[in-house]
Amino acid sequence: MTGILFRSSGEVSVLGLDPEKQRIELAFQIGAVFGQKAQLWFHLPALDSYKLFSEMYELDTESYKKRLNFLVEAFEIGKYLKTPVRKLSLGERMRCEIVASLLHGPKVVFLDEPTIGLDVVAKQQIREVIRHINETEKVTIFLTSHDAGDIEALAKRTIVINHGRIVYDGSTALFGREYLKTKTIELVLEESTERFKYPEGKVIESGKFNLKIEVENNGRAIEKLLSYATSNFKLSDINISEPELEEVIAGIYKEKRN
Amino acid sequence: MFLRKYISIASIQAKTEKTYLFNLFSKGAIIALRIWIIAQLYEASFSSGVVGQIEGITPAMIIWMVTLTQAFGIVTSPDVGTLISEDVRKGEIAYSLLRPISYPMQQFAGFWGRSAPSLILGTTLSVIVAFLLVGGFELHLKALFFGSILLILGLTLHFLISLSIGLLAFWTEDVSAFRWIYQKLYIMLGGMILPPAIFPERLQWIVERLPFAHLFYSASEVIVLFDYTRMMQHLCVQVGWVILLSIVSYFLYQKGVRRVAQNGG
Repeated sequence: MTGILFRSSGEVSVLGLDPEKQRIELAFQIGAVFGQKAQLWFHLPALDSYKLFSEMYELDTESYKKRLNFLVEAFEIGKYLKTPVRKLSLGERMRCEIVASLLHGPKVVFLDEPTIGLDVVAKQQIREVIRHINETEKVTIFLTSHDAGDIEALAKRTIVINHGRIVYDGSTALFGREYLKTKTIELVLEESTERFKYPEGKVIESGKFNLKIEVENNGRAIEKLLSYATSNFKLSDINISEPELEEVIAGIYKEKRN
Repeated sequence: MFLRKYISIASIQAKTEKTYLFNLFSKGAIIALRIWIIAQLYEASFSSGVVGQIEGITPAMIIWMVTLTQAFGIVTSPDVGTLISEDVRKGEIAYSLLRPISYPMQQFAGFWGRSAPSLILGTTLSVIVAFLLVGGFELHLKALFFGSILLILGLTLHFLISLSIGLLAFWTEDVSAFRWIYQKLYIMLGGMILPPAIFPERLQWIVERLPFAHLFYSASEVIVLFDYTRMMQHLCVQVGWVILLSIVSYFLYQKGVRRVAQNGG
């Protein structure tokens, strides 16, 4: 879609342009950040790279300065604009990288694993940044990530690809529901779990006073389990949870492999 | 606007080079050391008195030609072919292909940006060393002018050969073997140690039609031993090779860039 790779078959159109034949024209309208590659000059401050990109994208000085001021404020990178990129942390560098991809005001931005290698706090910051550019700039974001947390936090639409084939394309909210086969119910008893026997569920974890049981994802199965538990035991706590999106995706890939 | 982006690329590359002044200085110092060693070898060879000149060229002239050839050859580090092959192997080329620029032109601009600071510093240090060793020579303005043109064309020729070698990475991934061969050819036939001007006649005829003597040597010969006819001969050969290698590298790039898909980027 960016014009970097050439298709083996089929048609591609991005913003009405053919990425192979109209690569230069398309380049003015798209941006990209590759999590594992750097586009900023490593030994120089990000500001030097931004100046270069403004020339590459043919921005006039006034537009460039206005745009840069806006992005610097929005992404809070003012304090390390003049620090050599090699001295920035990964999270700081990633924010600067995203700013670089937005300098020329693209309509579509491709983010390839932007949170890879980041700690939890930095990931959260990057996710906020991505959400911000989507909501305020109305930029379409193509996010590829192996971190299901990124998808859950950001994506309205999810496409799951397995060996070059689309296995799911739809709403992220509905994604789990379509593939969710089970629910996990955690029961905390006021007595020992020795007597607890429920053959219609699968006990996935068992302690002296608590159990985690997996049942089919339908109201009837959940009701039946709870009915058994409340009728035969005194409960101090109940938690009902769904599998993590990561497990759902892993389940899909396993299923397709089998 | 078109040129501005490439001038900016050259400029940022030059700025990167100047960030590590010690590296820059040490590159020049190594060249100067090499010149001192070569000068000692020539002085020892000529001090026996058996041979005073070769083809009318004195030892001092030979040392000056080798000095300038070595100084101009400083641009071979870092090697363009290696940089391009790393771009291809690691997928860094992706960012270049994403931008509204030509990748070969980006590399060309980057080459000049990287080369300019070390060329200036390296040539200055080498000239100082050569002057201290063998004294000066009669320098004519027109020799400097035409020598500069030949130098620009020679460095362009070096870039095109290195670009072609680097682009082979789309097929072979590792281009170190080709690079090694090229390096040995320009050292042996490119006037880095022995000026082609003192080669035996038949060998000189062949060597002067190959590109290697025209990378860094022909400029230095014109500067030290200006001769209009020789200058025009060098110029014609350089222009011919530049045109041919531009065509070769153009086709290599057009074919190679499609293989980014096969290498996975």
